[in-house]
Amino acid sequence: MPAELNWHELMPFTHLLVHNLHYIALAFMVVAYTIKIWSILKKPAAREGTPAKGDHKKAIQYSFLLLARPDEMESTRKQWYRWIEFAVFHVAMAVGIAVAFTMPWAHEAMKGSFIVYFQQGIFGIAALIGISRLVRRITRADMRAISTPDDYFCLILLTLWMGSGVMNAPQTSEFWLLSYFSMATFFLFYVPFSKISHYICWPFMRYYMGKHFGHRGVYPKKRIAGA
Amino acid sequence: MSERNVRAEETVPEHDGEKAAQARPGDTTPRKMVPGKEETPVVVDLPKTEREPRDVAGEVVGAIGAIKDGPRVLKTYMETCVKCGTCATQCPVYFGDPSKKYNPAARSDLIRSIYKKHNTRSGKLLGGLVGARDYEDREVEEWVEHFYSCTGCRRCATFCPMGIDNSVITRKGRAILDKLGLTPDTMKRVVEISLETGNTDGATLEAFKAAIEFLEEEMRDEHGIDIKIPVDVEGAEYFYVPPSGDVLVNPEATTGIAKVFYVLGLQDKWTMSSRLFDGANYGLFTGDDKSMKADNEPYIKEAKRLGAKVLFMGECGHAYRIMKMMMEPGKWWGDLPFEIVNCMEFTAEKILTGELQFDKSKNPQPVTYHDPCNFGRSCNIVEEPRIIMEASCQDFREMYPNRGDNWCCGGGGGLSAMDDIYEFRMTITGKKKMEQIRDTDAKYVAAACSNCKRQLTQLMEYHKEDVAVGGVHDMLSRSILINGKAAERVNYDD
Repeated sequence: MPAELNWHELMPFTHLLVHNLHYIALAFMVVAYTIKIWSILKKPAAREGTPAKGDHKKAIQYSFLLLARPDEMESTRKQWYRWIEFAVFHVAMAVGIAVAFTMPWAHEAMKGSFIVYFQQGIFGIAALIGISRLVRRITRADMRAISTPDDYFCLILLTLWMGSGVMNAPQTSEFWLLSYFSMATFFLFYVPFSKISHYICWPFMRYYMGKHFGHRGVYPKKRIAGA
Repeated sequence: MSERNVRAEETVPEHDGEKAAQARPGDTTPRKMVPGKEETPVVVDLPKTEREPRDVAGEVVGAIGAIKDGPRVLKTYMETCVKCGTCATQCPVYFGDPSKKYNPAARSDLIRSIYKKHNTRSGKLLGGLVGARDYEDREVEEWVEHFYSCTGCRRCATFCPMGIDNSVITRKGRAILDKLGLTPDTMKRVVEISLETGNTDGATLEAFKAAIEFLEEEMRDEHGIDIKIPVDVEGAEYFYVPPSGDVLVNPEATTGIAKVFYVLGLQDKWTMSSRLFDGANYGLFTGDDKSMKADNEPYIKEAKRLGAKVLFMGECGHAYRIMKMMMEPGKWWGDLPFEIVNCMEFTAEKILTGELQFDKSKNPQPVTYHDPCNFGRSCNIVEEPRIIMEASCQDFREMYPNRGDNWCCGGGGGLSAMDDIYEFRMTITGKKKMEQIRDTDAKYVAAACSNCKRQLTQLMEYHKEDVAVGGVHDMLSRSILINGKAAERVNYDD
């Protein structure tokens, strides 16, 4: 039976990281995001002055829901596995963040085998997806052509974070706890500056996309058999 | 210096009130658009000012920096691209040649990376790590090829998981080039000719009148009756504005329109203008909003002068897009005393109400329809042409994908007018469309756009395909019943 992590006898740095630094990083990220959202909102929204050809509301809804409808786009219809990759990877990130903020105060409750297996399962799959995405980014010329160091750096770090999540889930080692929380804390500081912050802009962009194409009647797309 | 350059020098544009006293760019260095084939360049040299060196870097960085004070959406385009590569897989140009310079994300990064460097915290702090960089001396010369390789079809936008419209960034890039006097001469000339003559072909009034007379004679031969094409009729309800190509090059579309009005008993209710018979507006493609508005304004004045109730747009995607979607009431010209309707909307509605009848046997050959990007992704006129084609043709076949998911013909964004990149258009940008057309086995491709028609016609010739290219109303013209009879004519190649 593996040794169990004693949360009451953590090294001072681990304790500081898990109970203090982690939240300072979160506060920093919230401030950075607030500034970013404010800087976006203070700019004028594009205006459509002509009579609308379509329904804005339905189109905006459609634009947002496209994310969850791989059947709606030719690209994801043909490469459905890419959409599954995308979905699992992003869900795993959300679970990873949730775990990072739940574990410090609910670690006892999270020792249940179902929760441990769930974490290990989703983090493990996400780590594999991360590796496959990294391989794709390195081996495909079209991906290399558009990648910045940040793209590689984020992907490597997220993959390692997911891997450490697998190891940390059973709460058996302070090393893995330290690894997992170190990376989580680093991300909170780094994310506002990296491409990972794309999800802050995403709602604005999808909203505009829906509004614009909805105004012109292009969204929601009509499903035509075979088209 | 070529005659063209001398001429351009005489019409130096004004930018922001400051006269840009520079020579037009010279065409001196060959540009490689197709491996192994060197072509006449679009533009390579920066314009020189006669008085003092121009701070090109400052102008470029300043123009890009202005984005942060502009509309919200463009700012988000500048700050967010996850580099997933989806846009490249959906781009007709990248399909034809998967080089970095044709990758939509890489092209947008030309601007995005400079924006990041000067306007974002991450760019200022982390620089190259997050893809931020400074402007490099003379790099705008390369931008010409990059931004004039994009057809602006917006296909990548509809597939981008974030919703980035790379065509908007392309237009921004072209606008910067235009300010620097780097718009390719072929494009610049189209804008200038249109502003000078009222049409992009530079056609004279005599040529227009001769074309109209010819078309009326043709219709008389086909149907044995007089079907008029009214010109300059004040008080006419419908003011018909086609692309000039539909009068001079592919005139069957115009006979189709004339026949529709005749059958509906509206022969006296419509008119064309002898001064303005080309809705094409290349200011949209060069990124020059001033030219776009200057080109647009005469149509508004003419519609008002004629007292038209309907600005009746022809088969031209970008012209209709500008009139219907961009010429915002209250924004450009105030309230407009007319509505804007596309001819395909009008005709399709009349077909559905049973007011137009056809003899499909007049069009027995397999036909297909190419969705012009401006109709498919910017105006949603996609069912109407199909209603017309299916009503007037015996064997209508779809290309796949189609409608809003269609592939560009390869001549979008004004590229079809650029003969200096003919080889590039034939072998790279048009490659996917050529495949799509071959897959249908069609013998006629209809496209409701003069730019598409030009590109597709050249594609068929280049690839030695026995496929005719024309418009939607062309097919209608051949099979519409007038007094119970369709046109007598059989050979349309004459």
